[in-house]
This record gives sequence, C-alpha cells and structure tokens, in this order.
Amino acid sequence: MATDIRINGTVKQVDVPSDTPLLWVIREELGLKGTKFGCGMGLCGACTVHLDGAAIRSCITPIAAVGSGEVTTIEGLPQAPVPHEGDGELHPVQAAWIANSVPQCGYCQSGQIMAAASLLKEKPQPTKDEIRAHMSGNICRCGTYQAIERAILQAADRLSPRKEPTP
Amino acid sequence: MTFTRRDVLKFSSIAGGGMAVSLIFQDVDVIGSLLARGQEARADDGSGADFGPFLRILPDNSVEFVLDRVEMGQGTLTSSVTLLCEELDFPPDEVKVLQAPVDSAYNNTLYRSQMTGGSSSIVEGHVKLREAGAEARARLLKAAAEQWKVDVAALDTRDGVVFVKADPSQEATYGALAARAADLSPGRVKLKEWDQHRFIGTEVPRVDRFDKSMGKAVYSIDAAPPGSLVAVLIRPPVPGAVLEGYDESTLQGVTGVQKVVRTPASGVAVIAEKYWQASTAARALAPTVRWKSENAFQKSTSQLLELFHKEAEQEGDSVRSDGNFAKAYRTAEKKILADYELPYLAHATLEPQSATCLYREESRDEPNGLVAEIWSCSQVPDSATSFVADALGVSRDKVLLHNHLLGGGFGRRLRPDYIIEAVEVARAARLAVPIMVQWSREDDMKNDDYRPMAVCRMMGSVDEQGKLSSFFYRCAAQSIMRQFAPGFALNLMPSWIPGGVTRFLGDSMGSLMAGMVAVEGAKDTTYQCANVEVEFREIELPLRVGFWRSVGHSINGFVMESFIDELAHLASADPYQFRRKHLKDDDRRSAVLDRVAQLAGWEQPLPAGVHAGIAVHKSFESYVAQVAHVSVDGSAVKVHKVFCVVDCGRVINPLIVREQMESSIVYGLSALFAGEITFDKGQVVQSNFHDYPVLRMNECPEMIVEIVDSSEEPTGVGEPGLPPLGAAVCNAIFRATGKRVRKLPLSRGLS
Repeated sequence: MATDIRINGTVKQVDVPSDTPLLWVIREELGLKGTKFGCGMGLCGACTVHLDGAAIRSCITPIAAVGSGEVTTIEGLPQAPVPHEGDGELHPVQAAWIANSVPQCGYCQSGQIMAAASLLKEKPQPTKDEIRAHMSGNICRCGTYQAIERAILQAADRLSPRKEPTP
Repeated sequence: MTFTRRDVLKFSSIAGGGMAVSLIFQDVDVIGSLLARGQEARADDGSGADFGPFLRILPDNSVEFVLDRVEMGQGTLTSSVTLLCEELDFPPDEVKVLQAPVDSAYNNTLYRSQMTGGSSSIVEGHVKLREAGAEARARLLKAAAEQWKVDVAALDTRDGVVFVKADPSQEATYGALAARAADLSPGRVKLKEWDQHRFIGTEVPRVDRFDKSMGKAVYSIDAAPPGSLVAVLIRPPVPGAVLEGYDESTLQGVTGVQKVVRTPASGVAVIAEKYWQASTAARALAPTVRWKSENAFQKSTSQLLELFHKEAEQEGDSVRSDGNFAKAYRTAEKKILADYELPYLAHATLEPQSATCLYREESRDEPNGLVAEIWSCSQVPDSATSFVADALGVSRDKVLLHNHLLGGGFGRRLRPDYIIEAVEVARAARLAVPIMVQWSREDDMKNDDYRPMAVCRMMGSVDEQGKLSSFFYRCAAQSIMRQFAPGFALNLMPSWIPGGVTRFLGDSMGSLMAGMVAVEGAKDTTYQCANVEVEFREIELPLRVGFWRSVGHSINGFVMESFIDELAHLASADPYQFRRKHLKDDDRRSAVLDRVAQLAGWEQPLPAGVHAGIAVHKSFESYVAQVAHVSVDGSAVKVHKVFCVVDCGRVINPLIVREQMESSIVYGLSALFAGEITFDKGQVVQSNFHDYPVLRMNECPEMIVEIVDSSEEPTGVGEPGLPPLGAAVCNAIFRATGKRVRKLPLSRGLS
C-alpha cells in the first residue's frame, strides 16, 4: 500500500502493508537507523519516536495509524523548535546528555532522549517523581538511570529556569 | 567540518558541575569516535604514519586509534583513548577511534585472544597503551629536534603540537612531523608518574557520547550493507529436537519471501527482503514445522530443582580443603545447614542478537577470495572467526568479521552462536547477497546461554567465642568452562593441527577447567577459619550456559555473603563486626567494609521501617562493599539506597568507575527482584520483558558510590559491583522481616 509519511520535516512515500510497524518503516524503508528495535511489544522504549510531538512506541504503531501526523525521530530531533540561541544542531536534551556523558552502551539512548524531550514539552518543570514515572517506559540495561535523571533536570532547568530546587 | 579544540572547551566539564551548557556546533559531524559510526581500521592509503598497531597520525594532524577491545557500555573505548592521549598529549575527544580487525597484534595478552571480558581491559592494557602514546610522542619530539637542530630537552608538547619551550611560537603539529617521526626509534621512554596525569584519574567524558546521543552509533543490527536480505530463524523448540519438515506452501504469495532453507543446526530460515516480511512469514510457517523430540531435553524446572538438590547432597570435586571440616562441624554446638537456590538468568542485552553474512563459494578463479564476510558484534572476534572457518572447512584468512558496537554485552557476545548461525543460513541459501539473521526479543530470551542455575549447600558453625569454627560450600551446577573450552582450544591452536586433536584438547581442557569459574568467590574466601571445604559438583545437561556479568561470583557473592550473615546471626553478632573480625586488617576487603559502614551510617538509627544489610566481595581483583537500605511491606521489597565502596587500585576514570558500579547494581537488582529463566517440558517459559521484568527508572534506588584512594595497580570495574548486591539487599530483608532469603528471585516470595 503506497502511502505518504510526514517525517522529520519532509514527506516520504513508502509502499508497505498497512500493518507494518512504523519502526520498520523508519529503519528499513527510510533507512533511518537511530531508532532501535528492542522488544517488539512496546515494553522497552528503544523504539520511541514522536507523533505530533508526543512520544509513541513505533514498534507497536502500524503505519496505518500514523495518517497525516508528523513523525520525528532522533535524527530529526535537532530540527524540532529549539528555544535557545546557540544550541546549533542539538536539542537541549541532547546537549544535556552530552554534557553529562549519559550513554554507556548507548542502544537505549535514542528512545530515552525522545521520551525525555516529550516529557519536557508536556511538563517543562517536572518533579523527580514525574520524571521517573514518565521515563519508566524506557529500559536501560546498563543502568544509566541516575545520569538520565540528572540530564533531564539540567535540560529542564535550561529550558525553564527554576527558582526553587526540584522536588 | 570537524570539531576543533575550541569547541571542546565550550563543553562544561562534569567535574565543573555544569549547569547551563552552551554548545555551538558548526556542523554535527564531530569526531570523538568514528567507531561509533561503524568505522574500522582502514587499509593504509599511504598518507598516514603508523606508530605501532594502535596509532596512526595523518598529515592533517588527525590521530587514529585502533581499539583492540570492544565497547559494550563498560567504557573501555574511552579509557583506552584516555590512556593513549595521556602520554601522547592529545585531546581525547579529537581522536578518531577505529575498531581493530582480527589480528593477534590486538590480543588481550592475558587470554592470548582478542577477548573483551573478565573486567580485564584496563588490567591488561594500561601499560601498553600508555607506552604506545609515550613512544609516539618521543619519536615526534626527536623528529622536531632534528628538524630544528635543537636538543629534545628544549622541546615540549601540548595537544598535538610540538613547540620550543623558550619560544612557543616555534611549533609544528604532530601531523607535520609524523612521517619523519615514524622512522625514528623512540629510545627508552619513561611513563609519567601517577600524580603527573592530566587526563588519567579525571572524569574524562565518554568519547562516544556524541554519536550515541544523536542516533548515529552503529550496532550490529544497523550494520548490514545495502542490498542485504533479512532472515528470521525458526529454531528447535527444545535442545536436541531435530527438524523433520515444514509446509512451505503456507508462504505461497507472501510478499517479499525470497527463500526458505534448512540449517545444519536443525533450523528453518525464512529469508525475505525486509525484517517485517521475514517475521510475518516465519510466524505463518512456524505452526507447520515438525520436530522429532525423542532424544530432546524435556525437563521442567521442578524436575531440575529435584535433580540439583539431590546433586548438592553428593560429594563433589574438592577445590579447597583446610583443616578438618567434618570433625569440626560434627562436634560444633552452634551450626547451620542451608541450601540456596539460584535460577538460570538471561543476559537480555537491549540489542537482540544479529549477524549478517555474505557467503561466496571458494573459487579457483579467486583463490584468495573471502568465503564468508560477516557484519556483527562480538566479544571474541578471533574466536568467532576460528569457529566459522572450522565450520566451513576453510582457512581463517577466508573469513572476515567486521566488528561493531555492542548494544549491551554482559558476557552474551562471548558465545558466537549467532554469527555461526548467520553463516550457516547464508551458505544454505546460496544467494549472492548478504543475509542478516535478526533475532526477536523472544528468540533472544529463549536461545540465550544462561547464567547457570545453582543449588549451593552451605554448612558452618561458630564456637563459644562467636568465631567461625567450620565452613563448607558445595555448588551443584552446570560447568560453563566445559562448554567453552573447546572454542578456546580451537582459537588457540594453529589451524594446521588436525581437528580431531584440537577437539580432544578442547574436551580435556573442559574437564580440567570444569569447576574453574563455578567456585570463584567461594574458593578464595579469606574469612579466617581453620576448617574450610569448597567443592564443585558438576551437573551435565544439554542446556547452554555462559558467562553472565561476574560469572561464578554472581552466584557466590550472594551465597557467601548471605551465609556469612546467617553465621553472624547464629553468633548473635553484628553482621558488619562479625565479618570484620574474621578479616585481617590488611585485607583490602576490610578497608572497603569499614568505609561503607561509615558511609552508610551503619551505627546510626534509620528511618522507621528501613533496615540495612551489608556485604563485601572481591572479584576480578577489585574489592567492593555495599550497604543496602531496604523496607519491606508485606511481600513488597523497596530498596531505597545502595551505598557502594570500591577499591579498584589506581583509577583511570572515576566517572566510569562510578557508572560501572551503578550499572552493576541496577543489573544485579533486576536479577534479584525478578530474574529467572524456567523450563516447562524443555521449553523456556519466558519470552519478553513482561515475563522477564528488568529494573526501570522508577524502581531504581539512590546509589551512592565512593572510590577508595589507592596506589595499587589498576584493576577492573565492569563486573565487581554486582556480586555483593543481592546479599546486601537480602541481609537487609532479614533484618526487616526475620526471613532469610535463600531462593531467588525475590518474586518467588519471601519465606
């Protein structure tokens, strides 16, 4: 089934069965390898991308469900609206990830970053509990959770500076 | 445009506690790890100057480092670059890191192979990498001295530039000097003193953090070349099941299916253009596949437990025998006998296994041509190559393995089964394109080589003075070494030695080494006791077992530190004090134990409902002590904090040491809470993360890690944080509930 998909600011045409998970359209039809396969059941979060700015698990989202929505993958994240001058090509979440040297093996990190970016869009000043609840859909087998939390707090602070410390 | 030194300085350092970070990239093509992008050591195009097998400097002053180990999150890429850069005097973030090919020049000399594992990369590499940097720098200085007709003593370096001390404007880049320098001899080099270091001992951020934060890192799953087909393999449902047949007509008209082939290992490979097609087709085909299971493994976990318990009651091979345990135990008044049960565990690397193989028949037209070209990831690239060559009956130079980043290792990628499978599929298919065998999560969960299940019989006694009077450990489990020794033999032996001889040697090695890793962490206990027995009772089963983060220590850390806690309780002693009085003052376990007790406020009262447990364990030459703060509500266990003190000798990168302790704690907690692989009539029950849960961020305790200041030789940190963790938590559970946890995981219930 030939269909148009709006992705990372462009429109691409793909021809796949309508039940093909978005993950495999992204990886195999469009050749974008930054989004990862971890479980195929929406349990691990490695496949997290944005649909109209909100985090979804692309491994359980059939291409038919995407419709005319705008898909953003890790490769397209930097081009998402960046509120601060001088960020160049990076989203503040990515900048925080790099500044805090978050990744270990790195396999889960695209998904982590996409989940974190959507959290900060939803809740610019999340509490630690809100961070943990939102991010609990993303598994990290290397255990970078403490570093992820630090990076999210730093990115949040940069995007919306806080007067009081984060609860 | 490449990333300049000025740009690097714009990053806040972690030591600087970076708040707002101002980053300006001209273009996101940063260097810092080409390896992250799947780059291998390139063939020499003549422009670069080689300084040994690890280092090449190009005229434009780029520095290429060939990484001899693999990066799987443990940080060896960054540490290795740091060691080199310290002596070379070059910024770590600007080094282009390439992956080593299969070549003995890149061996881990401790193992005489290119293995990455055993928390050994720094132990083995820290001198040789520093020497590589120092020798290159010495040559560069000589070349400059020659060029400017000055003494070497008049020169110094800074970040890739040689300059005259008295007149720093007189300078030359390494790149400009490299060609001449490579021809000079370095002479004897003296490495810097440990207190002279600029990078070593500091929190050098991970060199591969850029690509890994931008989705650019290339893993095995990403490495298949354009034009590759994808195969999904239907594997025998139980070990020993033999393929009888299948009904290919179910796939008639299914889009994209190219071929269906049988493999020598009794699998059925469905080959398609894309993964989803292959996966869908395989699911359609699977119900038609028929297996012969007469001689197959068909046991369930309940039967295995019976078997293991029976075996644990039988005498095993003695690996340590001090004094007279039998008599001391028999005559003791205060004694305990306790049987511990630990389950099979999956590695569950987040990246499921995969390998791509382009197979070409040996041809007279191209006698030196490759027969198998492979793209994958491996902790043992040379061993994988040997296996493939042996399976194909060709010489090793006909096999080329492109190694990539690992999306998690934990010991899983020490077994090259997924690589051999892909070669077999490609050979059976005889299509002139690369074929990628992609594992699903279910495939991965059910076809892992598990951390062995174990039943450990523990016996011990204390005397009137509350001191240990006897101690007995017997582990009944499968032997990992018996399964891996043949592969070691194959890799070590030159290929001209007849296969039969190699196999005999491998089997012999297997027998000799059978108990070797099983008893690690038990055999070497230093708790002072006159009567100690340590035995291994080998159980032979056709189940694949393998190296799982900390290996034998993953069982023995738990068992030893839980049982010593039981003996402390028997002696009515404080668990920390009991351990401490049985350890010599100069035992490095004592120091970490003392410090963690202090750090965790062992003597201080805790909030209501929170209880503390302590454990100490030495593994891979490093020493770790932990205290866990835990509360228990019914059967719900909450770990609030884990304090962790590590002595790993001199520290190369404290950031990475802390990260590895945190990593091991999280990995260990996952297993402790709910990790178990069980069998139902031979089939693995678990399939994905819903029935093999792993720790998530909202379950992660606060982890407080402290590193001991030490001048001992550097030792590893990839695994040592794991062994004491389970006991620290369960000892706290005992304090909270009076219930001793002897059966894991906790999800089996506290009783």
